[in-house]
Amino acid sequence: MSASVRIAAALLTTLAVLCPSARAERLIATIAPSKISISANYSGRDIVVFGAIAGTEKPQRNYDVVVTVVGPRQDLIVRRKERVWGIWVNRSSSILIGVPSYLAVSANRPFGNIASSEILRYQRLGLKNRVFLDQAVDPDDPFQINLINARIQEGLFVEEPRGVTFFSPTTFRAEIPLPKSAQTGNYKVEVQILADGRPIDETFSSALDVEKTGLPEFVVTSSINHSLLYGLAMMGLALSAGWFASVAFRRN
Amino acid sequence: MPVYLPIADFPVDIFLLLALGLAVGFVSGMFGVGGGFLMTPLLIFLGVSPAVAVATVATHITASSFSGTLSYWRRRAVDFEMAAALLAGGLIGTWSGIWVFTTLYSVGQLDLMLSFSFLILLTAVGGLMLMESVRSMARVRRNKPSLVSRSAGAHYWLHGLPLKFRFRRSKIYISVIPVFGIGCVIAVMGVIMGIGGGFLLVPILIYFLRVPSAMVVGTAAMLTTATMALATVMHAVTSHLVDAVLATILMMGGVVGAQFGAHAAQKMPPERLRFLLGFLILAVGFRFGYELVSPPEHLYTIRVLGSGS
Repeated sequence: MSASVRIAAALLTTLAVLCPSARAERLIATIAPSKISISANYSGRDIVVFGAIAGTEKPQRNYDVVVTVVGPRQDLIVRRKERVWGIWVNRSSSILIGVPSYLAVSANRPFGNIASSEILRYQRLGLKNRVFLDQAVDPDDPFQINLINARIQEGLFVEEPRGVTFFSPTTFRAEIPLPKSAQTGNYKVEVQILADGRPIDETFSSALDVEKTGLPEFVVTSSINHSLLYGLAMMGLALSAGWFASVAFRRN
Repeated sequence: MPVYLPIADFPVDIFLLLALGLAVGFVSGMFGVGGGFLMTPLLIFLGVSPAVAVATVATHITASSFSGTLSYWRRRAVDFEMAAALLAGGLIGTWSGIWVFTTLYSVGQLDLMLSFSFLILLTAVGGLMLMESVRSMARVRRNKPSLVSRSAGAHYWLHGLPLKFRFRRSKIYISVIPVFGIGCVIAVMGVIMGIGGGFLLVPILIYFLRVPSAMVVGTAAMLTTATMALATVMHAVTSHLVDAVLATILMMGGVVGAQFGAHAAQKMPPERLRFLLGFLILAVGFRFGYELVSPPEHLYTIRVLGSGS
């Protein structure tokens, strides 16, 4: 845990104690880091979310927390291989619009225990309620189901029913792993709370930028903006590497 | 130690890549081929997308085949006129290969096309090479002359074609039309499949054009260098998929491995080398064939069309 995160946690706890007069609960949260750089030595990174529920009244209600991280959305084509004359060929396909390149949903206990499936669907809580922009995943659509399974296998879709830990009845913490193959772009981190299984109209949302920096950024931008020069440079590099080896290893 | 590949979009251990470059470089130096037929499938196996693998391997082959070309050139074992004639066809082949590559990529059948052409090409070439080398090993044992004789009167329909030219280094007098055509076909396949085509060019030059075997490997390496250098630039301009970091690391291992391979090859009789190469090619070919007919691990494949609305 970094020092800044620890300070933020202490601050949040203090804030939660100092706001007793409010009628309804309030949610205070922070994320760290606020920006992720993919540099030459990037190989995955954790996003840490800290939060506190302030303004709780006695008797205290039972709180549940759901943390959702949504990566930049993409339009995808999912193709299915079918056997044609003994060979497996891409045949039928389905285009899926606005699928997050990364989606992680964490809660403090299994979603089925938190609220009814109607509430979960309405509040868009849980992986399958959150993949598409406007509807839940259709359990009868093999393309959608296989997309989700493939993404879960790659670590790009994560559902973690015990990813949020309470360290007091009103303060919590979650760690969300951003995988090594994470896409660059604008991510959104959301925290939603439920009290006794009912959603509270108080959410936290924060933007998180994932950017290539340093060498990876330089390579990508030059490969697109100066593609001819890039190609010539690669060619030159290859020729000089070949020349260098043949000179260095010359026998006489 | 992981290093992030900026265009392949994920990190890979740098030592794994160096070892891969070294091993493939050793094979390419030993047999005088580019080694793309090994490198491209291996990169795909590592998780690099086929399109990025094909585009990046072109750079790697440029390096290792140029290293080979230079050492053959010092031994005066490169037929420049032959290489130039092959290259003239190669230019057209590279250009049309890039076009086919981009079309297949957008239609979504690049993966199938790759597996299919690898299968046919590798099993055919590997099988032929294996058979031929076994036969000549038997001949050597019985102290008989090699199968490819250059005796007078070894003429066939090829020698009836017009536009004849005397290739002085190779000491052959043939039409430039087949030379041009071979260069073109090899380049198309090289660009589409991410292979230099050296393993194809060598047997074609020996058995079809009757180029003396002393000249073949150097000339093939020269042509491979030229077409793959061109392919690097064209892939960079049209698809932007050449990963500079991946290519650089592979190259570093590759050029060193190629030199060791070339030294190792000098201690081995040529027919045994061809036997080993044929065996290797055949094995890779069978692997592709197995992939096509066996039920795939992932029935569904996902491709990103663009950033979402």
